[in-house]
Amino acid sequence: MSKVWLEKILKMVRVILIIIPVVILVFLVSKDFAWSGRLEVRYNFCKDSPFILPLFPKGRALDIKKDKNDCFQPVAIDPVYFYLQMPRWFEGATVHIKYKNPGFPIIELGAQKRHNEWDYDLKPLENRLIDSLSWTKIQKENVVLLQKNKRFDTISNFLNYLPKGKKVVFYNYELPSYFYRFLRVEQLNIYTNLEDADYIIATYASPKEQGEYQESQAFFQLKDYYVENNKLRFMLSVPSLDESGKELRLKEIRVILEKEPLTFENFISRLRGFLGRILYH
Amino acid sequence: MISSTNSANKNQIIRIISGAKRICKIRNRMTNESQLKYALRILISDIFKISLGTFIVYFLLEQMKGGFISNYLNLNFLLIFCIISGIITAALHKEREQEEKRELKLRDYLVIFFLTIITAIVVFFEIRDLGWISYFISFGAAVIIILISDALLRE
Repeated sequence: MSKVWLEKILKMVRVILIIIPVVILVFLVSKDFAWSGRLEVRYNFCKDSPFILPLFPKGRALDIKKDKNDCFQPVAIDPVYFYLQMPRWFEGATVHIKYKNPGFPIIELGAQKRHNEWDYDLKPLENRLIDSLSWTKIQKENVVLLQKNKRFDTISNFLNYLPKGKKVVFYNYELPSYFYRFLRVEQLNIYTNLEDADYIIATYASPKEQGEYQESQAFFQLKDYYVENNKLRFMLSVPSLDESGKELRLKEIRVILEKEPLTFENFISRLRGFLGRILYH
Repeated sequence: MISSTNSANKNQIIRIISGAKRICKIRNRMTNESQLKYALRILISDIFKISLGTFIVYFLLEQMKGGFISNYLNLNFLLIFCIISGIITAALHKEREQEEKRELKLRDYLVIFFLTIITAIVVFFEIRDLGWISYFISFGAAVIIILISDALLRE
C-alpha cells in the first residue's frame, strides 16, 4: 500500500472516530430532553435504575431476590414507597407494575399530592372483589358497571335513570351529588359487604395475566401532584397484607413519561424556557 | 503589478516547500518503522486523544447537570478505555525519538480559548450558590487553565 493511501485511510478513520462520540452525544441529548415527547424508564430489580429509586422502608420491602435472570422484591408490610426521578418535567406518567398477587383483594398505587403530608391519590391496580363477581358487566373505556340483576344496557342509561332505593357501591369513581339523594351509596373497600349491593360502578381495568405474574397500570397527570426537583413519590398500598402472612412479589416497575413533543412550532418557546431555567434557576 | 505577482509566487513556493517538508517528515517516520506499526501507532494515538476528549466533554456535561450522561451511559467504562488506550499510546511512543519543540499556532490558541471558557462556565455553575465570590473563583480557574495549557502545548 502506498504511503499516501495509508495517510488517507488514517484520516478517514480519524473522522469516523470523531463522528462516533458526536452521534452518541446527540442520541443522549435527544433521550434526556425527550424530544419525541416520550421517555420510557424501567426498574427490574436486577439492576438499579437512575429514574426509579428502590422501594422503602426496609423491613416492609424485603431484600431483593435474584434467581438466575429472575429478580423480584417481596413486600411484607403495607404501604411501601418509591420515588420517580425524572430527568426533566413531563406532563403525564403511566406507571406499569408487574407483580405476583397471592390473593390480596385490593392493590393500589398512589402519588403524593402535597408536601410533607400523607396525602396520596390512590388508583387501582387490581381489585379482586370486582374481578371475582359473576354479575352482568358493562364496560365503556375505563368505567365499568356491574349489575346483580341486569336492568340497564348502557352506563349512560344507568346514570340517567337511577334505580331509586337500590344500593350502589362505587370505587375510584366520582359520583354526582344527586346519587346520594336517591340511592344507598357506599365506597368499596376490603370490608364492604357486597351481598346486599345491587350495583357497582368503578373506574377500573383488570390486570393482564403474564404467566405467573399480573401487570397493571395507572395514569397520573403530574400537575396534580407534588413534584419537587422532578421527583415524585409513589405509594403502593395493599390492605390486609400485614395480617395475611403472605408477601406481594414485585417484578418490574415501568414508567412511560409523556409531554408535548418538540416541533418546529414550539421550538423557539421551548428553547427560551430552557435557557430561562438555566439562567434563573 | 510585478511586486504582487512576485509575492503570489513566493507564497506558492512557501506552500510547496512546507508540503514537501510534511511528506518528508512522514516518509522519515515510516522508514524507521514498518507501515503497519506506523498505522497502528497513529490509530491508537487518535483513539486515545478522541476518547480523552470525549470523556472530558461528557464529564463536564455530567458535572453541569447530574445524570445527563450517567443516566444512560457508564462513564467509568469510557475512563477505563481511555486509560488503556493512553498506556498503549505511551508504550508505542517510547521508542520514537523526541519531536522538536514547536511554537504555538492559531489552532493551539483556539484550543486554549475554548478550554478556558468551558472551565470558567463549569466552575461557575458548580459554585454559583456561593454568590459574588463565584465570579472571582471562576476567573481564577480560567487563568490557571490558560497558564497550564500554554505550558503543556509549548512542551
